[in-house]
Amino acid sequence: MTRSISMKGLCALALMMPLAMEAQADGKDPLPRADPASVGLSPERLARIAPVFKGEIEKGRIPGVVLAVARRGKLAYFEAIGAIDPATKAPMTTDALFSIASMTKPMVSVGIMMLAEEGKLFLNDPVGQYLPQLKVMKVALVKKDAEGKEVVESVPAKRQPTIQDLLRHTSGVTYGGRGNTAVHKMWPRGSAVAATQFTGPEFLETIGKLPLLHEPGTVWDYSLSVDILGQVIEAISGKPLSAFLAERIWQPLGMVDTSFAVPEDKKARYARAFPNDPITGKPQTVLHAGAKPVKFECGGGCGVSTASDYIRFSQMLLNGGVLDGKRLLGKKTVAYMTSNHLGPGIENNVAKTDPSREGYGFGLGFAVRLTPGIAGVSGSEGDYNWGGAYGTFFWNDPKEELTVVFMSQGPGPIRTYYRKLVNALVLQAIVE
Amino acid sequence: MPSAPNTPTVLQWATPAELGFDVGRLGRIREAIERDVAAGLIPGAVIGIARRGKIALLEGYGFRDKTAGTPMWADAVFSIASMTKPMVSVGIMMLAEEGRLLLGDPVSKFLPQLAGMKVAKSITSDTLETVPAEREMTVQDLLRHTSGLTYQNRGTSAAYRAYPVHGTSAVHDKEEFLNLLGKAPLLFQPGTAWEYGVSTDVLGFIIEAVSGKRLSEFLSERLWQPLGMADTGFELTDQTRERYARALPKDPLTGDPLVVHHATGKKSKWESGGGGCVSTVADYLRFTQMLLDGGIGNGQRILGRKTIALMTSDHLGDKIVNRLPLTMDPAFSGYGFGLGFAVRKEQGLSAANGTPGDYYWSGVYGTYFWNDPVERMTVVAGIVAPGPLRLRYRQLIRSLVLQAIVA
Repeated sequence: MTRSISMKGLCALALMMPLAMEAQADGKDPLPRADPASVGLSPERLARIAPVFKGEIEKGRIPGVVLAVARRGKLAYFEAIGAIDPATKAPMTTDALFSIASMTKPMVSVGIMMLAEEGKLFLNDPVGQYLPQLKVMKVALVKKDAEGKEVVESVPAKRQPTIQDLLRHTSGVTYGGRGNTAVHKMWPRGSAVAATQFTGPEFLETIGKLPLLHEPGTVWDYSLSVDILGQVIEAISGKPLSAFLAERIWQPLGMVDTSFAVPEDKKARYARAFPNDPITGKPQTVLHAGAKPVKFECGGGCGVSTASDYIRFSQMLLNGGVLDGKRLLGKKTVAYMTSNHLGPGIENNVAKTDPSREGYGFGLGFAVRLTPGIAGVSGSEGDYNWGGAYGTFFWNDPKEELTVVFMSQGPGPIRTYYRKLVNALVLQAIVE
Repeated sequence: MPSAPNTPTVLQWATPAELGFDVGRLGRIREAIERDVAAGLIPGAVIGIARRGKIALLEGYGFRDKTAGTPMWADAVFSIASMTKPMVSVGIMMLAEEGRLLLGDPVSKFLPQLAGMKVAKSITSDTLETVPAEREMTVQDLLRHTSGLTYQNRGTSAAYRAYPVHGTSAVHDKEEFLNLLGKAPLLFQPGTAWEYGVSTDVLGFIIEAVSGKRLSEFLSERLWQPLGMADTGFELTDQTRERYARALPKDPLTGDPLVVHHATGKKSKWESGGGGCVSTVADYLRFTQMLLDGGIGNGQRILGRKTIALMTSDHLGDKIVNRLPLTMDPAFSGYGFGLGFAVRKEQGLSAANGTPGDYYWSGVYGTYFWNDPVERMTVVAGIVAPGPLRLRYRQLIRSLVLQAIVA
């Protein structure tokens, strides 16, 4: 920019300056702003979104939400609605922090692919090559004893789980909370549960002795796989997961509010859930609002972020691995990650996490849409998404050059309702 | 840019950036290979990348001869083993284009010793029982490895043991080998399952039978000379011997001695179309660029573009049992097989990155190539890693090259 600026360049610069300064002064826009109509979104139709969520908030179903929509690289919609904390009723802000739970997974998956790009690991490597505690995994064989009680025995796995298995959730590892079988009862219920119970080495030591629910590479099952990937990153890089991700993803992308904890000076910006689930009335907790400290940085669900930060991450993916000149991944790597990796020989249970995901396969870190139809939500072939159990959600639609990040803290079953609602409200606004 | 004073010119060079590569990311290739050279995993490597018809990178790393301390330059000569097969497959397709053979012809039309072959009842049994073949194997079966033929060293059961030793290690002359092969059992009914084996050696014999020439003579006249592949042949010559790249004395993982045919100085009994050649990365790039350009190279038309399209399409379909990932390399799930190459059917699934429609093959001593028609890219890796490590290098090279593409 400083050297040899042509007249044409100067004019373009002059045109760009005010916009850039505006974004800077505001300090809240993660991407350059655009008039929605200029990126094919109807302003009238976008205006349908806020009243719907205001209605939800008035009914006491969710304290507040933040929604960011970018199209063709430009931020077209960025609103905070409702309250950041149901106790104080302080207004929700676009820079609110959220516990993003499983939306940590795509970032860890990107971290793994960075190591793959450098030749520091291969997707086909058995996990035990990096984590000796997981060197000899066995597969559960459930039998019934004389009294009809389930007894879990184990047999050697036909092959050991690979890095690719972890990325696409075909490792045979599960979440204890995903079923009631005798095998499920042996596994930690979820990522946050594991992270508050165990240190990293204890976690690996513990699960290394547990029987896999399935033979590796045969069944898609949501799982602690990405927590394991986080440990792989630590083993290879020799750094805490947060240090690696900060250095390689968060800092280059300017994701200043993304981490594995809510720092003291940001506590006021941390969005809170209702103490009780508004539908079931059951008490509900969110990891970083709870009293239990995290003993290891869990790659499967321990992240904290903002809509601003996360849309910079998702826009980087949509751009084929680069944002603002910072290249995190090669474009072929992103294309590879966002392709379906569940072959005909792999049982696809993606829709068991959410029936509206029928018609989705799974790539390396994301659910990937296989066809325009079938799914219970609108979308395009090749779009990819993932959500967090506390109520956050994102998706990228490469065909529509669209990225959407939705943040809320509604850890109950209502979260899947909001995923569908946001999907409908955003896609109906596309008019060209 | 060339790392050796006498780096051969294959194609024109262009700056990597002009060809859509990030220069810093391309530098990761050197970093990763030098890391492995320092760790004693491989002696060295030559990597060649051409995109949009121009060379982006052609460099040698590490040592051509670790023991002697000789550096690896880009003109090093490698035993390319099964990377001989794609060249022989092209030779067969030239004969097919001339109507001198048809893909549907039974193999016995050219090699009567292979008429009436039997099929093993079991591929695992320790005793051999056979049934008649339901149909004879065809030239297409040989090209796509669905003939039912195998390699003796791919199994230990009675069916495998019945095969004569093949390729550059053969102990019988060609006539004797064919007689023995005709009596060996097919592992599968022809056209029902993919099984790696002596099929391309047999294709070499067919070329000799149809052309009346030695395989080397035919390939030289029809392929190597037109494309200017001066360093490619079945034996080392006075021109290539001094540039021959050597394996480490011992496998770094297993400690087993590493033996590569052309390093032994032994002459093979016959020219093995399945694995007998030496070549350089630059020579082989001329060959792969010809494929990528639809059959034309060095201004010479080698094959018609429809022939290349046919060869690089999947010929296994849904009915033929694809034992490629299972028996060769589990990282390459999602690949079918064309007429001489494994062909990628989808973007995902494989543990190695790639593009639908890309095709590759490799050599057991560690060499590897792939063509990516969508990205208009060809990559050739000269590596001497005859042990199990070779599988890792196929994935490594793919990772390193593909991550550098930014436009």
